[in-house]
Amino acid sequence: MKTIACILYFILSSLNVAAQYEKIDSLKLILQEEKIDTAVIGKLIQIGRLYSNIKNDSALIFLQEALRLSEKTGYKIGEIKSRRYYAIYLKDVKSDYAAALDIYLKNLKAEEEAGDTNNIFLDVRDISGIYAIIEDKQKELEYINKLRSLINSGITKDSIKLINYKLILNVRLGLFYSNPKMNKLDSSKYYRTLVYNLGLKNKVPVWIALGSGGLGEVYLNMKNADSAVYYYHISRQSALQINRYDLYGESLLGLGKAYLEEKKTDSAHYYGINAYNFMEKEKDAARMMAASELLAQIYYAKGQPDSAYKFLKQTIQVKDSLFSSEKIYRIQNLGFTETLKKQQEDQTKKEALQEYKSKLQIYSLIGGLAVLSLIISMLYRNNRQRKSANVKIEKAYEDLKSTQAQLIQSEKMASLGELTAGIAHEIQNPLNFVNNFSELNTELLSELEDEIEKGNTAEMKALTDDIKANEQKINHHGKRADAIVKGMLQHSRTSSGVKEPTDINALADEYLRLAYHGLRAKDKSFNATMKTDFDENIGNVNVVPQDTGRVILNLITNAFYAVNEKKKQNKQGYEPTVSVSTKNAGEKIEIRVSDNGNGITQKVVDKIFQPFFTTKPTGEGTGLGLSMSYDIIKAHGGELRVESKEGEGAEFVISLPN
Amino acid sequence: MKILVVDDERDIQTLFEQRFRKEIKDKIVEFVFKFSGEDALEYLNINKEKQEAILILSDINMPGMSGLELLEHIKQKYHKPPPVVMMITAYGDGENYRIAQELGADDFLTKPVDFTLLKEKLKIKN
Repeated sequence: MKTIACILYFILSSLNVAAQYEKIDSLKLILQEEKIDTAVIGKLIQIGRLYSNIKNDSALIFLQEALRLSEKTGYKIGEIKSRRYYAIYLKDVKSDYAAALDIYLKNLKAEEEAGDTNNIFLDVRDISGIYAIIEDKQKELEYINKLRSLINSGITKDSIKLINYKLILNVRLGLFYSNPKMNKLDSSKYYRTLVYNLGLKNKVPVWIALGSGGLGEVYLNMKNADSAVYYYHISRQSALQINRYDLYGESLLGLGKAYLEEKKTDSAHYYGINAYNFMEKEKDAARMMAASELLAQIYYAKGQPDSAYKFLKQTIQVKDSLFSSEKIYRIQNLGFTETLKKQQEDQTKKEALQEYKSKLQIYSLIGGLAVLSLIISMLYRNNRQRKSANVKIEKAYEDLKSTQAQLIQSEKMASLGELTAGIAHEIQNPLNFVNNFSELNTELLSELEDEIEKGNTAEMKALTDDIKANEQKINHHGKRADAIVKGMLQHSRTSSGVKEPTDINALADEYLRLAYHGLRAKDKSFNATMKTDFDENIGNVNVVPQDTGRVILNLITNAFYAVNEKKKQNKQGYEPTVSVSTKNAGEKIEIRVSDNGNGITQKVVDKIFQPFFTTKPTGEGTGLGLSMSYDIIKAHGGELRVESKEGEGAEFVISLPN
Repeated sequence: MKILVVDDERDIQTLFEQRFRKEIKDKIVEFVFKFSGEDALEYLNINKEKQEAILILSDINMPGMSGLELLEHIKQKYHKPPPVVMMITAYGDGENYRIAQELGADDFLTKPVDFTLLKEKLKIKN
């Protein structure tokens, strides 16, 4: 089992700062001698990691240089590695979770493309860790489940690695269930016991430290302080053995808490102070905050409100800097673009703030009368800050919403713009006919007068027949123009939102022609064959015609765009074709819009209905068309889906309740 | 003179037949109508051997083969001498006009077609 310990050692950080500097200096010497790019990158990353371990900002310089060099030389592994350690630096040293998450997600994408399962696993682990810190339980679980499915998918054949991966999964599950929001202590205990026992069995100190530390926490939360002290001591010793400062600090904190629970205030004070000083030395702001919060409680228990106040103030200061409104906003924003669940996050954030507020209120009581006035003023200040932070968040959210509304409006206008050009062309032809046939009739009528004078009945009959036929043509083309104008008005008008019996075939046909001529007007060389297959049994369907028309128009415009893109590739014998068909399938009706363009890759299919997602070049698409379409069809109780074969085309199917 | 009119609007046939009813009656002109570029090309290919003088009047905006593609086929791939081709362009459509000219169009008409002007042009061509 020594090998496991060796493999694990590389993820460990060192307690001994001086030793770290020594290592860095020797690495720098080697670096100067290195000639091969990949070796240079390797050394740069190593130095960056060491700096990161001792919370030195020089890490940034080395990791960025490594990334730059990797990108320049196309060294993918170097790229992924330097990004990972850059993210770890942001997460652990700068507490900038939003930026770290952003990098991880990018890295994950690159690794997924490269099929790099090992690195995927490590990144997924870290992402779940970040979500754990910012208490997004849903996301955290999502990534933990990803870890599980990676393991189940046979990520590695190496049995040692596999044990290690399973262990990581158990550690994450233990942490997930122990969180107060979940408060499933029994589940947490189960997973942590697994880790601990595996550690004991294989004599791997880091597993012992992780498992026992976790168990200490579980017992503490179960109010079993005795067992908590027992396990925290084990964790502290094992962590010290392997220089895991984070686990070591965690166990010191735990011991302080457990002794306080047992009302052994002197012991609690000893470990609390130790923890605080240790965190300060390690520049670990998050744990320092926890330590000062603990000390405030301990001093209160010892009957020293002055010291309690001092540490309480300290806690609030650190908390403010850690969870500044700007940082919270950035995380939320990231969450928004990633999952569009910002509203939900806002809610949880508010709950968290609420929880924090009530905590503070308890403290103000324990502060005693002597410091009551001070605490009140402090609370007030804090409250005001929080309020202003809240206002800022809300303002940003409002801005975002109004920007979104503007974008939706511009999407409508863009599609209207596409229409107007089509309408101009479409209306031209019927109007020409109206003018021409009416002029003709004037001519024919004067001829008719001549014939009447001559009394030539045969010719009179022929002329009146022509005039009648022409009159019908005038009427036909007049109505055609009328329908087009009505269609345009209907599109530009704000949707009535009222469902009415609508001739789906006519609607589809109209928008097909409008879309075609619209594109034609924009791009002279554009050309495509249009095919229609309308089910005459479809009758009238109860829909909001403006909205449904917008969806059909959008799908058709996209289809034309797709075939045009393929045509630009000049493939021999390619005939761009867009087909629209309708079908009465009993309980529902289907409208299908298909093209024989390049098709859509699975990756794009997954995101195709997300707002702001577009594959078109910047400025050509708002990325809202399909997302709006999707919402419209959903609002009709229907379904919008896409079927595509890469290279062969795509088919969008609208199904609506009949 | 035989005139081949190519346009996807079917009513164009009635319109032309009425506008030129005297000329048709007097056998000054004879019209053939095709409603797509493909059909027009097929007609020309079938009647290749007849060696008849023909004037082609084509719209540009048509689904499938556009008027410009048809023009290109006729001027560059059709037997010699290539027939006279007059293109009908939409009002203010400078770009199509320029492309048609490059492809060898002999003359142009702007929509809506001014039949008096067309008749004048035809007499000149006669």
